[in-house]
Amino acid sequence: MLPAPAIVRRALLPAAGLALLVLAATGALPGLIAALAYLLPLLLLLLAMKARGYPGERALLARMGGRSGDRARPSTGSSVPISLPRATVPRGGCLIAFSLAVRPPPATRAVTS
Amino acid sequence: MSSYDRVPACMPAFHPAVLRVAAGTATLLGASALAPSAASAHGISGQASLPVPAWLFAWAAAIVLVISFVVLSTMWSRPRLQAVHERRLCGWPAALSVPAGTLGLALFALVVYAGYEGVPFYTSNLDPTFIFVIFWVGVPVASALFGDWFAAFSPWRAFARALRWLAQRANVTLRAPLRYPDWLGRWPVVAGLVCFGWLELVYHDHDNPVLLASLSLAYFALMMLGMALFGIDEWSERGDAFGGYFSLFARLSSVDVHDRALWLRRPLSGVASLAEQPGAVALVLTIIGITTFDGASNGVVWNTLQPHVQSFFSGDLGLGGTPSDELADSLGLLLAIAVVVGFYRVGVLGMRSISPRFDTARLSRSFAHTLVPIAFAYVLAHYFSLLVWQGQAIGYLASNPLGDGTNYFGTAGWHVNYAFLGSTAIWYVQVVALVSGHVGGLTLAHDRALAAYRSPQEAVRSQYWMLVVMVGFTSLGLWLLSAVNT
Repeated sequence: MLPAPAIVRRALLPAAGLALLVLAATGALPGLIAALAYLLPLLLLLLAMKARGYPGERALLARMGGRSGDRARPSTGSSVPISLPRATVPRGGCLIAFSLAVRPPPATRAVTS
Repeated sequence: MSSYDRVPACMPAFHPAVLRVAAGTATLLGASALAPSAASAHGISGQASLPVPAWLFAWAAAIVLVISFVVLSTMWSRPRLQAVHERRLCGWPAALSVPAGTLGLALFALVVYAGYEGVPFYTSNLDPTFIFVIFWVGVPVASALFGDWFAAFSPWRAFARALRWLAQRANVTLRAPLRYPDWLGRWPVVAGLVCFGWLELVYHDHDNPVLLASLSLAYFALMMLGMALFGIDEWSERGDAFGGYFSLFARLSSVDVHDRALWLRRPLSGVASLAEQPGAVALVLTIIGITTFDGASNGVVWNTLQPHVQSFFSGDLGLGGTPSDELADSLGLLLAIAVVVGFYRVGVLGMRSISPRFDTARLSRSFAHTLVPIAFAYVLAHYFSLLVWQGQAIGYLASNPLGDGTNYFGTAGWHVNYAFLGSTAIWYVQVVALVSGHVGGLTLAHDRALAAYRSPQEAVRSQYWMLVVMVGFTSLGLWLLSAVNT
């Protein structure tokens, strides 16, 4: 099946929204106005994402900074591959060994599966 | 280069497929807004008196979800639910399964006997209340609280195990002739739940005790056949519609029984370990869809549209009143499931637009478990009034299961006390259940995203889409409930 032209694809959601609004305004769908009042937070959220990208994303990432590397080994049967940062810098006894030894132990490679 | 690739990096990519599905879902919602009818109200309710318009609760719920999303993004920085964290509480004697199974079998026999021998009135006969309230609503709620205890009481499983024990005593080795096919996954459970949902919500004679007894026996026979072909444990876990439904919600419980011991586990971690089998996504979406239709069938939208659909079948196709009504409601049931599928699909396609590493099928499977708390929230919120009001009827029905005037336990004179909990209190319970369920879903999605995506940015962006899904389901749930309660 051939993909629809971009303009058609872009117009799909606004057209569906407009059709619902027309139906609501004409009273063809009783209860639709009430439904829209309930669904307005969802529509606002989608609108905010459409207009401003992922609003607040930078602030969230800034707050997350420095914490994201600390992860546990998952044990689920998830088909999505799980990223697991492993040891990246020597710690504890290994760090002392690095500092004191004449010939330090081999460094652990940073591996992400 | 796809059209998505040309979208600036800071913009969420409204992938063409997202738009298509969103438009489709909006149209389905609109269509459903046009159309419930003669379907009886299963979520019993009165008129709640609220201090503010009911739609403001949807706004408040959306704000709670956005705050939860921000708190999770900033405070929950590593996966905590992907590994199984459990602590052994105490031993669990295997011998307990014998009295539990016997009790389950005895109750099943009583249901069948009451169906055939009792009075044919749904308020006086044990069967309708026991099956549609205690079994269909009470057991899932109890499973979410206390774990998968139904497995021990399952009458068909107990009967099959008893047969196997007898065969072993007679030195006969019973072996399942077939291996359960992997492709079948959870589809038998989905099919069973759709059939039961249709019986409850669409079929006109659904509260006929004789019919219920016959269907119970037929289901028993089907389970015996499945266990004979594929093995008792294999079929019980994957093919038993009700066992699969209850065990799904049991994953929400903080207690679990396995290896002959009682275990305490981290809340929600049982859901995160849900296996990605074929049909698992459909199972969760179907549960939400069935409950959605039950709610919608009491609302003005479906009640406006349904007569038009019915008249198409009765007028244009010449069907009788009852078949055309059932056909219209069958379409409504499928439409409700389609709306739910559409909501989830929008979220998955949105996540798909973030990283090309995962295709939609994998994302759909991997995040399906996040819908389990939502499915439970829908069931609890929608049927809570039924459980607390109609559930009381089991008090007098236990003494008089056939409706013939017996009084075994001296409780036959009891009545349903509707003042036990008011409509306003029920509305608040429903709101709290829905919001809690969706916060739980958001937590599970956030945890899975942290484990699945390589960069925090991808993980956070994926959760914007899950937030859309959660806000959508919460708003939809509250709208459906408000149609009955307010």
